[in-house]
Amino acid sequence: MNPHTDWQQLLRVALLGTRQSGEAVPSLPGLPAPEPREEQVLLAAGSLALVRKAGFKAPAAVASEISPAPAETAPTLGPKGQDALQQLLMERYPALLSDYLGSLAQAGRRVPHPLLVPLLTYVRTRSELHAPAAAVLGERGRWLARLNPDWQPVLAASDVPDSAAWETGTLSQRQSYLQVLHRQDPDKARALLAATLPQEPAKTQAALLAALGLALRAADAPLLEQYIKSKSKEVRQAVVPLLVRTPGNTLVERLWQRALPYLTLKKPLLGRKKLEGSLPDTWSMEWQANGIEQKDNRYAGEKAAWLGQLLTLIPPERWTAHWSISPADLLDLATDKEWASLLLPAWKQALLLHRSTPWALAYLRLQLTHDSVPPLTGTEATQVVNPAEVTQLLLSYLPRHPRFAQPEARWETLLLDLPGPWPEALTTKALEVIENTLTVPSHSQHYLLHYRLTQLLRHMQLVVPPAQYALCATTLRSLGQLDSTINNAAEQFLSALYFRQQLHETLTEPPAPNG
Amino acid sequence: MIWTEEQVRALVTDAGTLKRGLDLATPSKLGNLGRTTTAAWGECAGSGSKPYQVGIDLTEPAFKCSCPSRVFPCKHGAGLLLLLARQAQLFTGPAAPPWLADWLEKRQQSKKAPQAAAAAAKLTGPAATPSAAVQEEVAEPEATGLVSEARLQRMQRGAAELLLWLQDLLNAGLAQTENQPRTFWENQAARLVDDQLPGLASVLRELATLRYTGLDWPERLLARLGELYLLVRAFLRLEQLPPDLQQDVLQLVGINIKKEDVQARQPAVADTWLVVGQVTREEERLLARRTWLWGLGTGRYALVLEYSFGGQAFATALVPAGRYVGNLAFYPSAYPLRAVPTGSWTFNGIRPQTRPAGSSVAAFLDAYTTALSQLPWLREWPLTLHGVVPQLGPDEQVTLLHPTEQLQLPLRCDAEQAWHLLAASGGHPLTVFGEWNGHAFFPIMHWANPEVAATTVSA
Repeated sequence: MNPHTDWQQLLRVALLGTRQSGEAVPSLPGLPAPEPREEQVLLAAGSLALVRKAGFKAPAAVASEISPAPAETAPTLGPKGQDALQQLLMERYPALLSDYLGSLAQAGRRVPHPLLVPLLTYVRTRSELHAPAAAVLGERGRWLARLNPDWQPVLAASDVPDSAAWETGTLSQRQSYLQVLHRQDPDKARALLAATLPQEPAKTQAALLAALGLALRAADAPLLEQYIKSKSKEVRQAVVPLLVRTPGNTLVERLWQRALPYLTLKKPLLGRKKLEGSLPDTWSMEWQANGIEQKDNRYAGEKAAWLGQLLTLIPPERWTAHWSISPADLLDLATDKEWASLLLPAWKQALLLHRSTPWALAYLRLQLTHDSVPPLTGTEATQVVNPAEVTQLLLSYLPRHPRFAQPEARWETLLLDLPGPWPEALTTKALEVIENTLTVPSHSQHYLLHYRLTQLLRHMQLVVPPAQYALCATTLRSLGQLDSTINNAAEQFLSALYFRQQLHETLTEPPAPNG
Repeated sequence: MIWTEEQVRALVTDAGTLKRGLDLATPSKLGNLGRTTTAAWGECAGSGSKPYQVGIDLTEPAFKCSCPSRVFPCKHGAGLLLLLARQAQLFTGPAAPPWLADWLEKRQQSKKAPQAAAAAAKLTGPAATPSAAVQEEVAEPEATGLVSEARLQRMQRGAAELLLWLQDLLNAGLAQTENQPRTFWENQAARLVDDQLPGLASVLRELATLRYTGLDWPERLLARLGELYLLVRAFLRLEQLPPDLQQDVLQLVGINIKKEDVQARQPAVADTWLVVGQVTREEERLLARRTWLWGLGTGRYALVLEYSFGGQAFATALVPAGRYVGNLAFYPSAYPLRAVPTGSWTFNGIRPQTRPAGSSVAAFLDAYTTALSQLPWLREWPLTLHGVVPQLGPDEQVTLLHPTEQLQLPLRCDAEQAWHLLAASGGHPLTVFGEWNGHAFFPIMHWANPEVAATTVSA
């Protein structure tokens, strides 16, 4: 008897059926051969199946080419930390995960082994989490991720990009390689770009050139000047904002000379100063060589677009210096009449592009005191001005009894996405907003206000420091009894705040033994 | 006592309840917290005017709540247990409030009652229990021990019919089953149910799904048909089998032995039992949970099979790595594995580091063969292996390597489980508990060796 060949023979008979198969049914020693033939097949099948199970021989070991993971060097999380991370991975408070991974890395902790698979599975499709996750994988996690092709990209986010990544990597890997190289060895980075760019498609050219933006140097100007003449609008649009910020560039001067005739500040001996403008008449290819496109749909009207682009690219300080006027006064004049809709958006872009703090402060004051000024959001404002200063400004302009109303108050945009951590004064004001909105009778539709309250509470989940929990809980709980519609959002906010406090505590918790 | 969310999840079968419980597990929602060594309690503001009173008897654990929910445990109970797991220091109340003390006392009394009843049943014999007299299916024990002569005849007629059906199947060939509609299997299964052979019916229903399980389905189908044939043949000659094997065959064809009968008739095995693995599977509107226990004193494995309908809790609160002191009654069998807790059954904390004794690959394969010779229809064989290394092969398949014996075992699990094993091991030896089915190993629980490295925490 040979269990293997007998089984294969039996399988052939069974598949084809005894009616058609002429093959013999293997006979097993010591077993009866019942009639009909079908029963013979069944008996043989049952017996051979049993023989195969009972006689299983474990295959001999094959040496693995994978060496074991090195020992961990960082402490893992404690039991509460594991529990908290597990909750985050189950999508409770998804907005908090990225920050938590970041603070784990800062605290020098790593993700415990039992949570490596859930973490890697979760971040696999979320590329924005690759880098924060890769930083807390520990030795075991890196070992594991290297084994699984699905998880290898997570590691790529933390690997220092090398020249191989430049040759064969994805566009974002090439970008990050270039960024690092440009900071360390700018000459080599430029040489590499000069050699490679001509063969690349426009999209890649634009992306790679943009990688220079973090540390622009005077020596970058010639390379950028070359690509301002590119046939691709995408490339030109990527290069121009870089070039105007490059030290020692000549483009700003050319743009300035081109713009100067169209804006005039009239200073009469009597009466108010006046800002007067006129639009360019014609556009030529020379304009394009200076980065001004013929068509730009951000502006209403072709001619307005030419001037608008000029104003966006010129550092706004040039104007204040030229006319010896403060940004606040100049912006104030710009709110006049029909020119506001062109000047304000353009200068807003310009102050962000050139990171001009005095202009940003003046602009914020303007948007807090005037209607229909395209507002800087909290995120934008804090890129240029330090957050504490923006917060102070907002606080000083909040009314005594702030509340949401229809139409939106001028401070709303700023409040709704002002980054944290919020000082207690601001949290108190935000709570007042909620309280007043709920208690002061209003003519506007309730659901509109309710939507903005929910939005505010959701934003507060991320920016109110957990230490202000008691303050928030007291106010919101008593409000909840007044208006049950806000209850849900308020409870979510409070529990997120509480959870963040717990997350914070897990950073100093002693590690668990099973991690 | 350390409760982890995973263990709480083993108690809370309803996913929605667990999620709402997680929301409640903060000190802002639960107040007046307190605990003793055997109980914990608190109050939770609900939609009613008075807060709900929530209590947990930690010895089982069992839940009590004054809310109107009919799900046990309710979200309040789940929340309280989770909060206890996370922030035990908040539970400062030293003495149980009167409502809880009442309840705990009643539980103590009712725990003693069934023991007394069981003892009485043993003395007076099963005829005295009314349920056995009322239900025709579990009538008086006779020659076969469990079924009436009339019912047995009807079942054997059904079995003989199945034999003919199997012959027809083999006559036409297994290849043609691939094109058969589901009703081909289902009609015959329904007839078996009519003939009071639900065990055989469920085998047929499982066979119907085999062709979707992999390219080797004809081979597996043939093996299962062969086993089914042997079972039917054995059933038709029931009286010639050894008494223990008769019991197995009867249970396999579909005679349900009532839990109470097992508790009343089978000898109780006393030990400290460790939950070494738990597998919960969702069937239609029903959760089926297989819990493997290992006796610390006897070194014996036991399988507790339980079902939960519509989010209700399982009859026994068993959590992974939980330790229980009590008695198990094993179902009658030629190789007894399935068991049910009987008499007193006390929860004795969670021991995540206690592992069952292990065996070598050669020894467990021998033991498995011996067990098969006593019970040829043995489906899963429990075993623990120490010092094995999960290994990723070039074909992306994971196997379990036994480095000292230089043998490897194929694994039968999904990719995620395999990656979990790899993560726990990192190429270093592990202890793994799981089931062997004659061809592959199904891992259920594993223990890694604790890291000795870096334990300092910088603030």
